[in-house]
Amino acid sequence: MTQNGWLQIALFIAAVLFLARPMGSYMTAVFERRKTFLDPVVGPCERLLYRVTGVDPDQEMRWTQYAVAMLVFSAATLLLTYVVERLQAYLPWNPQHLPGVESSIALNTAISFTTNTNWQAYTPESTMSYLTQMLGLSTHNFWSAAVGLALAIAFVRGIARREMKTLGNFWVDLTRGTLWVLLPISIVYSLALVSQGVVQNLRPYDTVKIVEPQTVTGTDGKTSTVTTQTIAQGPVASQEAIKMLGTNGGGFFNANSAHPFENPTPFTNFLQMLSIFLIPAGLCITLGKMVHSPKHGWAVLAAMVVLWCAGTFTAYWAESQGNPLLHNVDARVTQTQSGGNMEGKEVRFGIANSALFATVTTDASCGAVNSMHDSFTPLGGMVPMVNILLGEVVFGGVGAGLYGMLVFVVMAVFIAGLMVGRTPEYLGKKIESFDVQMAMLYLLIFPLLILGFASIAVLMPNLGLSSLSNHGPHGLSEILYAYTSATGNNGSAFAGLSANTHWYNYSLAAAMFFGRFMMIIPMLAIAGNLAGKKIVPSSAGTFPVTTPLFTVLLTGVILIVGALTFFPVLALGPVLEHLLMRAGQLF
Amino acid sequence: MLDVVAVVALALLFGLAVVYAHGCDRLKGGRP
Repeated sequence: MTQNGWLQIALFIAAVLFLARPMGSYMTAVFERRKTFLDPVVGPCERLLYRVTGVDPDQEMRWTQYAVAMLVFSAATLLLTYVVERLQAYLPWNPQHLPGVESSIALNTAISFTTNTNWQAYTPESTMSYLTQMLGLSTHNFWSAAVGLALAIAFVRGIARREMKTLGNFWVDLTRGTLWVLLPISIVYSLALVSQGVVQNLRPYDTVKIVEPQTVTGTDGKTSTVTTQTIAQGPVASQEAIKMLGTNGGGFFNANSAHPFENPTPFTNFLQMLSIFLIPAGLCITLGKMVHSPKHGWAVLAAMVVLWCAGTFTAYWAESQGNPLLHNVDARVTQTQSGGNMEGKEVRFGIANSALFATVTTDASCGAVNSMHDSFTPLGGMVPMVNILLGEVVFGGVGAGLYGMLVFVVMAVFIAGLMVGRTPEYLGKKIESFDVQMAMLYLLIFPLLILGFASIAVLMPNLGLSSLSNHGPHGLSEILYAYTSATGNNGSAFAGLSANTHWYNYSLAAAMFFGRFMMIIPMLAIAGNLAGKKIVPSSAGTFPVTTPLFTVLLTGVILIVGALTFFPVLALGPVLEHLLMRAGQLF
Repeated sequence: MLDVVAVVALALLFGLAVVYAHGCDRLKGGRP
């Protein structure tokens, strides 16, 4: 670990905290339909959209109507992506003449991008045409993030409102989130990326002669000499911006943010990490402002920062240690080398920015990667996995992080109430049996899907185990990570698992679908129930949700729920792998 | 053929999600 590394990590979190307040204030104005500086530009677009679609922006929705509108929108856009993928061979902007996408991958990808997961079981540059990338995938980067944003705002309204049956209008929240928040930032951000060297074109791929021809042996045993290399092109910058800002994570190229056309410089790397946390951090401030308790927003943000610190420090420490079994490799830190475990990492990012990126992308439900998580040390690789297993509430995905965290807040307040023997209250609302039932449903679906699917994969050699590159505890980690990433709608891959099989395509698609929609519905049910409640005046027995004690309790509940649920499987995977590595065995 | 299966499966899944939402709503209504 180096001073330079710590300085960059400190600079990153300082920038996040500095931008949280203005971002949060701006989003509050957007979703409370107050005046903003963008109104003259996007206001007419909004009104036109409502006129064309027949949406009455003043019509409020009950939580069930809000949920059904969200489901209808998701189903329609999912179908659009599926059709575009299947028919891409007959559609324009396909200079490489790529064929239609195979059915199981098309379905997996359509569900993946609709659920904000962006799990990619394919190699993008050799599978998806430019039109598919733009119309099928980039659009979902906006839509799925805007859906998450709308849902978080609906939950916050549920807390803020009193004796009301409605949570707002889904179509209005979706439109305003896209036009006022995601689109303008993405445009500016794309231009910044282009200035750094991220490509943006519709040209056919380049073919260049390589300097040193290579002799390679194919899987059939035949040798051949390679003299040329194909360099993929495309509209990368425009997709890259929303990929990070919307915590989507699906790379234009297979190497994702490790590819120099996606993430060419340390500055773009910093921007990419910052943009992952920008909206989730701002939403905490929005929460505080909308419920008229700014300190509560900061208390929730503090819990996120504490958990982020723990993950970052652990990953950075573990990766700086390197692999103890590599005796003849000089892993010292010098001015010319990063030291530590550099396998699967880009030299231009080094240890600190690779560990930080891995932590940030899995704290949020982004899933972009600038290094290969499969090549991390066992404990370093456990950090991204644990981040997702905690429910991705450490900043979390756009909207999804906040509403996930608020479900934990409901649980924390409930537990605090049990401790002192009083009916739990949250910002003046009594937390009753229905709220806790829905919160438990939300919390239990997650491990049920991850552990259920992972168990089936482990127990079926022909389906699950045949795709593994590594066996033993590392193999278990690869399978566990895949289902964790899918259910958590993260989308990052641990790699090492050949997931492009019918079993993995369909089972991961199911995990993504249920992990998104089956958790959103109980969350909205809590919001709808909270909105209808009266406000109880606070008394001496009310548990304050604005203090460091609340932050500690919230952090503790998240860690305890995560540990109780997932410790056994983590012990069999990365923990065992770490102990065996110390004993001299690698997988 | 697989396309038809995929579309039918999606229709069923989203239909199930709507039923699930109404089930959650009914759970609240059924409470004393």
